[in-house]
Parts: sequence; structure tokens; C-alpha cells
Amino acid sequence: MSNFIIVSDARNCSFRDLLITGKSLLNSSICPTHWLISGSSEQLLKIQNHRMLRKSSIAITDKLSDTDHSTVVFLRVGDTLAPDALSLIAQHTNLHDVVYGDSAHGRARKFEEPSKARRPQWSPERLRSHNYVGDLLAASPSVIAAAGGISTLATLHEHDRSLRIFDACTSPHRIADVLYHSSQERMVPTASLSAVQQHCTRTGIDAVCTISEKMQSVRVKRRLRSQPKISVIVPTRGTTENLKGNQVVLAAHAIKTLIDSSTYQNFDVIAVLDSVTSSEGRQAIVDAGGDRLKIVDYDRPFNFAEKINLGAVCSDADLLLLLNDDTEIITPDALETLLGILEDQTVGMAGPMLLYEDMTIQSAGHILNPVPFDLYRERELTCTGAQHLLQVQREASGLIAACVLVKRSVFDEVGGLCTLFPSNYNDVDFGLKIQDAGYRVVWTPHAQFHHFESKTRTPKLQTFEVATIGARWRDKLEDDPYFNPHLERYIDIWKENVMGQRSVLDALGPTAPIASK
Amino acid sequence: MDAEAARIGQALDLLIARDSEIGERAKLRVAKIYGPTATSSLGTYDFSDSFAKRDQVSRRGDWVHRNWLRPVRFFYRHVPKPIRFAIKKLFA
Repeated sequence: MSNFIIVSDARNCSFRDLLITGKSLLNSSICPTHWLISGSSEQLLKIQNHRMLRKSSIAITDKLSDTDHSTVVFLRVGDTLAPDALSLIAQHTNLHDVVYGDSAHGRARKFEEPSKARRPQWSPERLRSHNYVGDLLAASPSVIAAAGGISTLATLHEHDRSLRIFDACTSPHRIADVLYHSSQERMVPTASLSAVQQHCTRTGIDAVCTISEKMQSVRVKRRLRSQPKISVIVPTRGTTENLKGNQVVLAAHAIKTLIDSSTYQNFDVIAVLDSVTSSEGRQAIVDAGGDRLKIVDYDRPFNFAEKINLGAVCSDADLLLLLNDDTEIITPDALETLLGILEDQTVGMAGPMLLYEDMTIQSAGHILNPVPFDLYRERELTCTGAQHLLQVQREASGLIAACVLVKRSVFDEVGGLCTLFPSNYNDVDFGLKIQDAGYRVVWTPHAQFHHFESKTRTPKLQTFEVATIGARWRDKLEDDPYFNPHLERYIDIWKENVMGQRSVLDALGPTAPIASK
Repeated sequence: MDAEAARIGQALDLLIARDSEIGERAKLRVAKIYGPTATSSLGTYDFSDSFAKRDQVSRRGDWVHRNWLRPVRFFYRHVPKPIRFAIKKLFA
């Protein structure tokens, strides 16, 4: 049986809140050995003498000399610990040195359950943006000691505390169950700019950090150590379409806007042209690409993956930007932003926010639930997503290959795009291969591109594509680490699965047949 | 030119070989977890069968079909219409 020390910061809190938290500790399935209350000796004295807690076995104190062999749990004053939270944590502390989980927020009304903040597995990129792990953290004594000790950590901003603890840990773990209950305001993660700046200094990240006060999220923009050459690979058949009222050759438009608008200029363009490309289309692409352009002819039956691979082997650059011909750069510093993410040795691929022509979201990274979806597709750009998911740079299980920047070494290591997927799921497979090789895949909202794909286009999935992706990655599709098992499946948004949450009206059933009598 | 074409062909073959190697390893892992024929009754993976909605976690919270609700529902359906609508309005 594990021993637990609960740590709460009692500064600027009411006695009522302290009592609420205390009551929840008494109702816990495993009774903590200590409750360390820091920051207010007055509140400590009051709670120590309260009749309810006086008789309990919990030692309430403000100092602890020996924390060995005990798991330390940080719990905010006013929050309540779920009755089975400590038993759930105890099941994981043998294998993991830091544990966090889901939370419930607000009050239950009638037959409705409170809102729940469902969290993804360990996502270090996201933690730099905001404290997505919530206010309850359980850590082993060694991690606590390495992170600065209980008394230091107890008084820090929750984002600062989380960053320090996760910097010191080796195997973090998310428990997909509600561990604590808090107020509705704590549903959205908080952020601290100074905490992130200190974290960057500690971990050697050379970056400019800025905070959005409105969204409570920090942007970490890494400074580039060098200006490596990028090969932009554009597979195309020279299609002409109407864009913003003008008839344009899509590939020529994508290349021209990239050359004209990007503030990063060290790139060449490799256009992989189908044999059916018209001479006008080819000429428009040549005119748009100028000196940077290299044309590679492709004369085999359509296979998107093969075209990308062909473009990649014809390149001598260390970085590859896979770019569909129906795209257009929006943020001029998009390439620098993506390059900055790839400065991290553990990141293999980075992708931007893709928007339709009307500025609605085309893709904010993939979720696998188990169908691969583009997250929040067709939602307004003003949509922030659950727990501000769309406002922060974060890990994803996959990115749409319409626009991704990938390290050449990683591309070669995983064998490029799989040619068994000529049109669908080659990007899903590619993302999973990259993660399987030990690299992270990061999506960012701070770089934006248009993807003029038709909203009405529904990909024609072939049975063999679904079968192949399932044969290779079924386990990953059904348990996406950047998803949560309690969320609704088969949809493209991060939404609590409320199938089981029925109302009284559901229970009473329809009234129409009786009413019509 | 031929040398360049040969180099490209070789590089593409290398990518395919690497991809097959990773693919085979992934297939073995999946087979180890789900069994060699576990992808579905037809032997191929299919999203609709692979993760039945009935398996979703919060389905457990479905209290609507409990037996004790049946007499309550019967009573509700046979009370006068104004009362029934008042109840409905109350819980809407």
C-alpha cells in the first residue's frame, strides 16, 4: 500500500475551501498519511483544530522532514479529491514517476453530470504552451527532490510547478479517469510566461516566449541556429482552378505565393509532374518557380506516395516540405516557425494549421478515434477547441501531408511515404511510422497555410487502404495517445462521450402515442 | 542521365524496402496484440466493426433502461395530459 502526502497552498484561500478539500481527503478510498498545508499558519491552525479532521488519521502539518517512500500529491485548496483517485494513482506509481489525470468541473445539475476536462497522454510541447495537465499532480519523492523540494514547489504557480516536475521526471503517465473535482473556471488550462522562460533556460531552449493573456497560452518561438536548405516537393498534374476569382494553375500559384510571401528564402522547389500535365500548366509552373525550380516527370499510374518519394530522392536538402499544389502560404514566417520546431532533435515532423479559402479550419492535425480525422474540420478559425486545444502547439499522432516539414534523415529512416497507399492514409501511416521510430510529430497554430481542397470532397476510401492501415496500426488507431478513451469516437472534435448521459425525458420516453388518444 | 535514373531507382527501392521492413514489424506487433485473424471476421480491418459503439466507456452510465423505471414510465404515460406536459416542461 502506498503512502500519500497531499500538498496544498493555503495562501489567499478561505477556510471553507480548505474544509471542502479536507472532507474529500477523509472520503478517499486510501487515507493520505499527511496533509501539508503551506503559506498560512492561521488556516493551518484552524483546520488542525476542526472537529472533523482532529479525529482523523491524517497528520496535518506545514513541515515535513521525511518524504521518502511516499507519493506526493499536489491538490489545490477548494478542489476535491475523487474517492478512488489515490487508489488509481497507487496502481501506476510503481511504473511511472509522475501521474496526472482527468478532472470534473462545476456542479452536477439535475441529471446532468459536471463538465469534464479529458486530457491526452504526455505532451511536452503542449505543456510549454499551457498547464494542460491540470491542478493535480502526483510525483515520486525522487522527482520532487530533483524539482526543488515540496516547500518550493507548493508555493509556485501551477504551470511552473508542472514544468519543473516534468523536467525532472522520466516516465510520466496520464490516468484516463477523473481524479479531482474543481470549479468551472479551472476547466481551461492556465499559463505563466515566466515559468516557460525559466523552463527554456533550464532545458537549453533558445526561444522567444510570448503570452496570449486572452487565451492563457504561451508561444515558444525557437531561434534558428542555422538557415538550412529546404526542398519544397510539389506533386501536381498542372490542374487549373478558380481561386479567389482568378483562373490559376494551382501548383504555379502555390509556388509563386511561397516565393513571394515567405520570409524564409533558402529553399528550392521540386515539382513532380504527371505525364498528363498540359504544356500551358508546365509553362506556368516553370515561370512561377524560376531558378529555384527543378521539374521531375512522373509517368506511372497515380500514386501520391510514390510521387512524394520521387521528389524526395531528387532533392539534396536536409529538410523536405511536402506541399500540395492547392495550397497557399498565409503567415509569412510559417517556414521559420516549422523549422524552429524541428530544431528539437526529438521532433521528426511539424505541420501548420490548414485553412479553407473561407478561413474555416481544414486540418488542425489528425486524431485517430479510430478513424483518422482532421481535427475540427470546417469549424470557424475563432473556435478555440476543448481546453484551448486549437490555440497551442502540441503533439499529434499524424498530420495531413498537404503541408508538412520533415527532416530528410527521418524521411529516409522510415522509408518515406508508403506506396501501398496511393491516395488515402499515406500521411496517417507516415506519422505513425515517425512516432514508431521514436520521434515526435508536432502541430502548430502559429504557422498557417490555405488548403483549397473542396469542402464537399469526401475521400473515396478503398477497402484495401482501411485493411492495410488496420493491419499495420490497429493498436495505435484504437488508442491514440493524444486522444482520451472517454471522448466520443467517429467524430472530428474533442468531445466528451455523452451517449450514456441520459436526461429524465429520455427515461420517461415519448408521449406522442398516448397524447394522440 | 542513365546513371542519375539508376540512382533514383535505387533510392526509391531502398525507401520501399525500409517501409516494408517497418510495415512487417508493425503487422507482427498488431498480430501479437489482437491475434493473427483478429482484424475481423473477414480477415480485414474495418473501422465500423473494429470499435463497436457499445464498447464506449460512458455507456456504463446509461440508467434509462433500468427495470425500476418501467412502472414510473407507465404511470407517467397515463397521467392526464396537462400534468404530463407540466412534468415535461419541468425537466426540459
